[in-house]
Amino acid sequence: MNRKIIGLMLLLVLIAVSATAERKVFIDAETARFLEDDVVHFEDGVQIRYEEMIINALRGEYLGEEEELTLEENVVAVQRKNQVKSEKMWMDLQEEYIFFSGGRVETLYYLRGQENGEENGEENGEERMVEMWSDTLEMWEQRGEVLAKGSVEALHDDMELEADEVLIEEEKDLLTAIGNVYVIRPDGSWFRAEKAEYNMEDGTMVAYKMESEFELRGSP
Amino acid sequence: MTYFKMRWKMILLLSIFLILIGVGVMWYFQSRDFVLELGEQEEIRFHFRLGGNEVVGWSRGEMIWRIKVQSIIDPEEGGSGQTGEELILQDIEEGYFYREGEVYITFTVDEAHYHTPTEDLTLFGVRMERPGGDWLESDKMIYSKEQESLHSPVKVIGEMSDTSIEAEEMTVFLQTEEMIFTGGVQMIFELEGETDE
Repeated sequence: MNRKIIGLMLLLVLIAVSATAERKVFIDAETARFLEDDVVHFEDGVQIRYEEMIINALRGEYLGEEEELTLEENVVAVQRKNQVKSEKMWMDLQEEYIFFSGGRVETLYYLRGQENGEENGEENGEERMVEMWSDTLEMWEQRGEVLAKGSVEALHDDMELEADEVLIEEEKDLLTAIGNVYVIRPDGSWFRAEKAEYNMEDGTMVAYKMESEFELRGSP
Repeated sequence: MTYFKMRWKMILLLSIFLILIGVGVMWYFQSRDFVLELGEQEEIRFHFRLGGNEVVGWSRGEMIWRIKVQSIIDPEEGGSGQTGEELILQDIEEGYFYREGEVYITFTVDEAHYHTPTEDLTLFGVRMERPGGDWLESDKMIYSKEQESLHSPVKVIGEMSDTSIEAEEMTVFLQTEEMIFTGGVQMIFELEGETDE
């Protein structure tokens, strides 16, 4: 009986230990310079691995005290199948917040499935993704939010979208376009609006202050 | 008669006293340990001086390194150059690098070669440690007096401030504490806190 209790306690301890893991950042490069004040510069063939994310760049800097990471030149960040290309990336590892900037930021964002724990938006063999170009891109890892700013162009389900800002909220399955919104649908119809909310789950869209032009089909 | 006896006694006592002082002085000098000091100590120029089981490197009047050593070998003929150009230090207990008079790095080493013309020091099989727990290991590390640097031309591994590191080469500039790792550098930074898996 005692052995069973001890065994159960050991099992609980093992479960508790395995439930948490040390947070680590793996950095590979050809050159690394350790300076005073816990600052590390690295360059050539830089690869960062942090949890599920792999980032490649030409050079970067890590601030140990602040747990901040800056990467520059040909930055390509891949997380699962999501991909972001930019010239500069700044990451706060404590807050798990990422800011991409420099030139046009290219984003390929696969939506997570909402049912049965499906990952990467693979539902019935179909992948649901948003392709975007913007001046900057912000990501909040824990909140599952992505905010693209500055002359945003986006493609989703054959729909073309332009706006000042685009916010993707995965938990709500919602894509919100704000400011000078211009949408062209696959059938060629279009509309302009100040704000548009697109439900990526059921494909419905709500537009505010809208102006549109579309072809009526099947009319007498 | 009494006067002469007294005089002989005085001479005898004085002789014994002088002999005892002489023996004491000889014992003092013979019992001193050897110290090999290399380079320049303040304004005095000398190659090395024997005095205790230590080898000490100086630069511009400051002690840079110190090694506690049991054997100092001057090979008659070696591949490294002329006789006396390279001294081999073996059976080393411990070594130290100094900065502004304080121990900056403590190291253990299998063998060290001191090159007298350049006053450089090559350490073989070395492990360096700093007071905070940082450490570095390499099969070969060269201290350059001219550059005031430590250079490892071979693989180096170590840990510094919760960071483990591995690289094909390394250079440390002792004055600025700048460390440069090159060739296949792999670093793992441990972050504060834990994450749920």
